[in-house]
Amino acid sequence: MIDFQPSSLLPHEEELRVEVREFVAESFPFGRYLPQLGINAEASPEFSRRLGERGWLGMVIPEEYGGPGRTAVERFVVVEELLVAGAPISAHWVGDRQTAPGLLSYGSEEQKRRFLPAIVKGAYFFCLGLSEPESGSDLASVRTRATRTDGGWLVNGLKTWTSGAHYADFMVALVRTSPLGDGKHAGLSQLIIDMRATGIATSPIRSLNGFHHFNEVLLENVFVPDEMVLGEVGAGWHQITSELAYERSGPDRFLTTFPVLQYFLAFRGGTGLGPDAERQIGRLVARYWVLRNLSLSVARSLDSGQVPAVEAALVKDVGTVFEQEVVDVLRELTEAEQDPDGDLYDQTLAEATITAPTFTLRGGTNEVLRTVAAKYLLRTAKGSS
Amino acid sequence: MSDELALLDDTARSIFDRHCTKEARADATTVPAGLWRVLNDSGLTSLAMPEGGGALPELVVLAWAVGRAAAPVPLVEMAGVASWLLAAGGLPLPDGITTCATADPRDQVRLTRQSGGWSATGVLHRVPWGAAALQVVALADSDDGPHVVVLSSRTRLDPGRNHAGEPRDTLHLQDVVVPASSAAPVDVTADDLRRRGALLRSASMAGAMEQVLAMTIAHAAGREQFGRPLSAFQAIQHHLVAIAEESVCTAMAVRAAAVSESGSTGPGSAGLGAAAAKATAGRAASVVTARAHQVHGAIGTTQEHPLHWFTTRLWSWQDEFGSASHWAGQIGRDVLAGDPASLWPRISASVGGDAVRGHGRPTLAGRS
Repeated sequence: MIDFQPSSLLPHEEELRVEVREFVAESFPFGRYLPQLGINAEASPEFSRRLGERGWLGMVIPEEYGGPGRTAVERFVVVEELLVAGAPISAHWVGDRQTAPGLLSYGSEEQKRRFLPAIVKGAYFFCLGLSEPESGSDLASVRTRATRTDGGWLVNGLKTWTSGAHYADFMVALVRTSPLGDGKHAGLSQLIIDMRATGIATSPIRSLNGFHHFNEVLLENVFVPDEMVLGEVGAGWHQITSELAYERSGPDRFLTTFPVLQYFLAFRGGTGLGPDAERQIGRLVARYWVLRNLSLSVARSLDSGQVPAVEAALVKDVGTVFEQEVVDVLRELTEAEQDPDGDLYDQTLAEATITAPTFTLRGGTNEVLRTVAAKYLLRTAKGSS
Repeated sequence: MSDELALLDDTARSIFDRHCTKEARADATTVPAGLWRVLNDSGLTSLAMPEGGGALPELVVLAWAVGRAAAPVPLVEMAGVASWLLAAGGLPLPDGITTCATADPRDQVRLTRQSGGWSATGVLHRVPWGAAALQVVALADSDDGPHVVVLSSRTRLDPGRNHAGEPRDTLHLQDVVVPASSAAPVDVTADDLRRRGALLRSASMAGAMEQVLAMTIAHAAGREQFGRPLSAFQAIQHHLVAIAEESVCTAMAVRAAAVSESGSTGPGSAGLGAAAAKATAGRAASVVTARAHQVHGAIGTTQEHPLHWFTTRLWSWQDEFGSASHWAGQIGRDVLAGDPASLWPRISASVGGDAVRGHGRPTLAGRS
């Protein structure tokens, strides 16, 4: 019922890894650089453009749209090396992970020609207009409304928890294009909204550490031309849920706190820590090894044309819970008061501690994921009996 | 999984479906004669001998099937471990039930030369089916270095068992006569033996977890309380998902270790394979057994209900051939002694083999 096969990297994938590893070692020297933690990283448009120059953005985009036409596994290799090094990946993250596959599946020819080459270069950054004040886990209840007007749509509503809206060039928003009728999943559409359009007001929501990652985005009579509808009008729910396997299973779902472990080993490690520490570290390493093999397996399935949605949901649940466990284990092994202004390890641990709650919330809470996975388990068990 | 492995899985599965009956399971202390005969005649007990052609991935499939069926037979011990030790020493597999010692840290057997052969003295702890087997294959020390030895007698046997009632007998040897043809030098260490046993036990645990997951889903879907099936309650759904997740982690760890331990990658990653598999299976066993029993309620704690065939095995197997703590400690010691910057290259080292080609084929879990 659940299909995970182990997979190895092919020789050309290994070569790519070496290339990326050398690049990050030079850019972010181990032990001397304060690593960024996963997708909580700062946005560095400059770094994103450097990745673009190397062909490491929008990697799955085919050559006809300006991309390198590489595979999900090749993207996986690049992403895991960037995360392990603690690179500042936020600026391009949404466009690279979410928007590019979405455009490839559902975009019009015109949209693909306009946006995909720009994603590859790191010239356009995207944000996702999903959550609203009254629509969190229950995403299909969004109230932002698009109404017909001459040549397009007028959008009104309030989006929230929008990562990177303050630097994004475009938002891909989920909006209601026809009134709530029989099912709440019907009548939703995806619109590509120019963040410079008239009627958009973006305001920061400061995270508990003062960091500006999230935003509230008010949309008042924002005009979106017809050609900026992504896919079909009314098919928005199907479109976003069919892309979830890309979002849920990547290395960003288990490697967020890996730099903390690396720096623990570098700054507090050594051979004299005793048997308890050895067991704890060994448990973490075994789990990393398993999670990485699971995540790689999902990437390989995507490349062979499968949609391993439930596998991806399980990886995200196990992986994000584990990212938090790593922080707890290392904090206990550190046996000292946490100091946000201490050495590089202290700073990394402190950052992990206060951002940990977001790991199991972002992109849908783990509770919702588990419910989705359980329904699948029960359905397939019923089907096979 | 390759076609060959899928075929082997089908064979083992159909043998156990037919011959591993409730009656066969009821008394784990004796090896069910009918079942054993079929396993023997089908060549599964000698799969790892040179003429059997079975490498580690085949034996993992076999061990998985043993766990899925909760089969009370020393098949893993004979085909997976004893045969491998014998092959390493160039010795033939003797007729009849042949088990293996487990390289328990307390074990010690010393061989000394005597006319026409050897004399063995020492103790082997908790040997699986030690009394039921005709011979026990073990590692022994001698003045000529480590040897594999086939023991067909002992001075004293202290019967023991595990939670599932599977025999775990302690053998005492005092000047036991060993013919020259029953011992041979090997370069296998006790740690090698434990690592192999740990991987194969982990495979059996993955099989048992697969079965526990299926039983728990069926129970949750079938039983009604408060006018609804248990499976309609989120609290229950989350138990099911936790069991599935830990089963999936164990399955992946075992499959990846089966490939990496087959020796196609460099040193270092191979050690992580079996150790990580047992550490994973042990961690998973606590979650899987606790949550499965919680969903089953009181009926799952009875002798009448089949759940215990699997949970008692998981409780025992999690500690056999080294507990999760043992293997985690070994990994941790290694990592702490190494270069911090080399941890990621080690975790991300390819497991090796031709696993890529296995994609999209039927899986073990796919046809339960």
